[in-house]
Amino acid sequence: MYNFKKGYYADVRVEDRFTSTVAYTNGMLREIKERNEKRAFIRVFDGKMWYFASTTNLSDVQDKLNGLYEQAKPNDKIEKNKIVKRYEINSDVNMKFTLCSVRNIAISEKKALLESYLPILSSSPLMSMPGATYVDRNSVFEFSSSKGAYIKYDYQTCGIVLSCTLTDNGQFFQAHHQLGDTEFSRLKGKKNKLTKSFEEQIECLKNAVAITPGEYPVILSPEAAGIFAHESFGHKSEADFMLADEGIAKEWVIGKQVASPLLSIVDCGKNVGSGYVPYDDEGTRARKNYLIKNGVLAGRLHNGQTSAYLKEKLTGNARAINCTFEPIVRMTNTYIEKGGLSEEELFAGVKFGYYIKSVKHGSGMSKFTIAPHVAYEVVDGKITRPVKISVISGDVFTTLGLIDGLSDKVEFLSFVTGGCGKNEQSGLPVGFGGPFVRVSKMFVQ
Amino acid sequence: MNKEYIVNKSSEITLNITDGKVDSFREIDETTNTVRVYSEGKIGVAGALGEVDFSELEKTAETKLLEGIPYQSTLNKNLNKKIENPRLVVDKSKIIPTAKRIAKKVAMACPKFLVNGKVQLGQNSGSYKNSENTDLAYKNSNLSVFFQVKDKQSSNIADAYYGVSLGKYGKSVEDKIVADLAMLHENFFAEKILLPNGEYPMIFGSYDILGHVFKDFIAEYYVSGGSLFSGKLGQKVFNEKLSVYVDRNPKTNRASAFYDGEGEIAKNYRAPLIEKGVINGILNTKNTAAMFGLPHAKTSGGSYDGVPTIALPGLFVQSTAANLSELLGDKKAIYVAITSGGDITTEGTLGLPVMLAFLVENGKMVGRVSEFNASGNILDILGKDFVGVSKQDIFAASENEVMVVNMNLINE
Repeated sequence: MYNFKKGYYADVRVEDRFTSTVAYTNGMLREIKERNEKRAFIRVFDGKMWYFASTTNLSDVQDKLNGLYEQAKPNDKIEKNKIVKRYEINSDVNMKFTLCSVRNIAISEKKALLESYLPILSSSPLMSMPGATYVDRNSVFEFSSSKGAYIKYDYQTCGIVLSCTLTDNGQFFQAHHQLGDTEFSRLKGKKNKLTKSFEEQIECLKNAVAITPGEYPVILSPEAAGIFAHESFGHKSEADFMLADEGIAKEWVIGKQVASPLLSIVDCGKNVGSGYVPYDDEGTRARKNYLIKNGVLAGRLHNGQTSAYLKEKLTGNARAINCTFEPIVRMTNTYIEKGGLSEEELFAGVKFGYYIKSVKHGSGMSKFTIAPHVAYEVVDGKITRPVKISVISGDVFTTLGLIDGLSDKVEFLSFVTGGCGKNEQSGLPVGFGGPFVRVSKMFVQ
Repeated sequence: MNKEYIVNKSSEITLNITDGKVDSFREIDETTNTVRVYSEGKIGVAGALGEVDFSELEKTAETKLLEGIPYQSTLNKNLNKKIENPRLVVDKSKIIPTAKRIAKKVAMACPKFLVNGKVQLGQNSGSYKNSENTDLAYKNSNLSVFFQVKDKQSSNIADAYYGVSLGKYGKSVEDKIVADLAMLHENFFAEKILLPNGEYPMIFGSYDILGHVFKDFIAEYYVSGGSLFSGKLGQKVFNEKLSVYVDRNPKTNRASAFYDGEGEIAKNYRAPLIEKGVINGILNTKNTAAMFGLPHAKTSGGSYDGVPTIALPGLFVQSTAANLSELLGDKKAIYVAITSGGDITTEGTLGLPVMLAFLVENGKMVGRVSEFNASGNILDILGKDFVGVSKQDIFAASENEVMVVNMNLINE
């Protein structure tokens, strides 16, 4: 397919990405479009430096590859390079979405679906500036390497985002709800769910009270728990932070107790959803990777470079947001495994605290922060009134040790907007999930 | 039928630095093309990447009119302007040795840091033409130097960030960058000072504070009553020392065109949001300005194949003092280097978990402050508690201004 030269490692990643968007603002059609972009990302490695190029002209790939070869220096021993040796030589065609591809659904049908949900956004006199957006994406990836790998697979997401401004007596609340899925047909028939969500947000507008900043027990919903897992520990599991320092690798040793024994966190690209990555952007097959198992550090996430440096196995976590950028170590679907308590038993353990139901955004370094969207006060194990919280935060390791309860069911969530940001690459689709998680103390403000 | 033709080209060379060494080279060239047509209050848009036949794109845009997307637009007439600076900040042939040299110098100056980063040479150019004889073009170059450093013993992805965007580069700038990183290194490893709870002057990058209220300046939020500032256009809401603009001035924003996405040029290439404490602009497009009866802000942008939306390509905050010494005198202040997340309630209460902060005395960084939470109401922070804006950051190579406000420090 491509003429790879001896004396170098090289790979070519091609994405054929179809997207469509339909949007309404204030009852008027604002956007309706389909886009089909094809891009290729080409990498050449000579054992010392990587050389990258990107193109939107697929007939230009070989020329770009040749241009990179000219910049690099030939290396007779490249096949013995510790990074190159690790790259898998997979050969697979794995097309999951051919029969339900959003490419084959007329945009008029997508528009009609979105229009069917518009009345929800005018169901209360408190609602104004309704916004409704349908977005989908179907990508076909092809990966070829100079080692002989050839992989072809597809990826799909679709979803609806509804929003409006709620105002009442000088108070306002930006209400929204997102449905994310991988099949268009599953976005139908969600009127009741969406209606209930907006009714709940109206209650928040009318009745939410300010809180006194301080430390409180907090219960995280599956959505909040998934974001917490991603932000608090997922990023710390990305092994590129360990590059070039042996001291930290020794400190960050597998088997170390890092969290409550109740806690197990997994990253897995095999789960179908927004974080579905059956092969990463270096051609590595997805696998289930425990980051924490029963409170003990069990693994970390790798690309070829970090895997070679730390002498650990590849994990399938080399990802780029598109074929304009090189793959770096990123998460896929990150979730907390279930515990043994029913939801009722979990809440019963809180005398006074807060329940974080949905989240606007989160971030994490040594501290993590989560900005709640809908949150409630919990008194004597019961959810009482809605509250206004700007952020909850805490030291990552302290908080991981303070998890004292997990419910017995895991919920997975997919998203069609937002995504994870790292370095210059933001908006990477990832998936989250978890059970309800109880933390004995978090800073709430 | 009115028509617009837009081309944008970006050319970018990026050198990645890992552990003080350049380990990758990336070159990306991208061209986007857009044709918009307007007829009977409707818009049709077509876009494509790479080299295109504009007559084909025009036909596609005309067929898109059938979708019936309402859009109100009056095109600029007979406007011709070109601001083109073809000179690259650093010659392409010198970018790899430049990046290798600076990476090595920074790594030597910061022995306890793992030094990762990027050196990026960019050149952006483009043109806007319409059927009313308007013809605009720009070209500019920018060098950005970004370091993401970490304590070699830390388990964080990064512990501190340093970034500068430069229109000129030479030995004196390079020396300043190295000295800035050395200062960061020295103070990062200083013993942490636990300051008691209370109100302190805090120094922020302007975006760190203003970024939390940009949505309140968006037309749709503003007119719906869902903005903290709804109904206050033309009113004095903030401290009279505060003036904020959407920046497209080539002197301070070298990555964007001097005109907006609909070919409109703001006075001095900066569209006002706040002037002397008065809200003087709401972010809008020609369509939303007309739809909601707002003054046209000249702040549009959007994707190459989409209907125009608002854009915020850069931010200019009018300085009130040349430097921090002039602004603060001998008063102690806290330089907030990294906040993690943070958000604002609908009452305007802003909560910012501060990950990295330094003590500043007489305009100099003199130590590290323990992690804390900063809090206050945005109307106070930018009102009675607003101290001013220093043109010079504490980091000598930075061309960005910094904002000083009084906020509450709360220890966890």
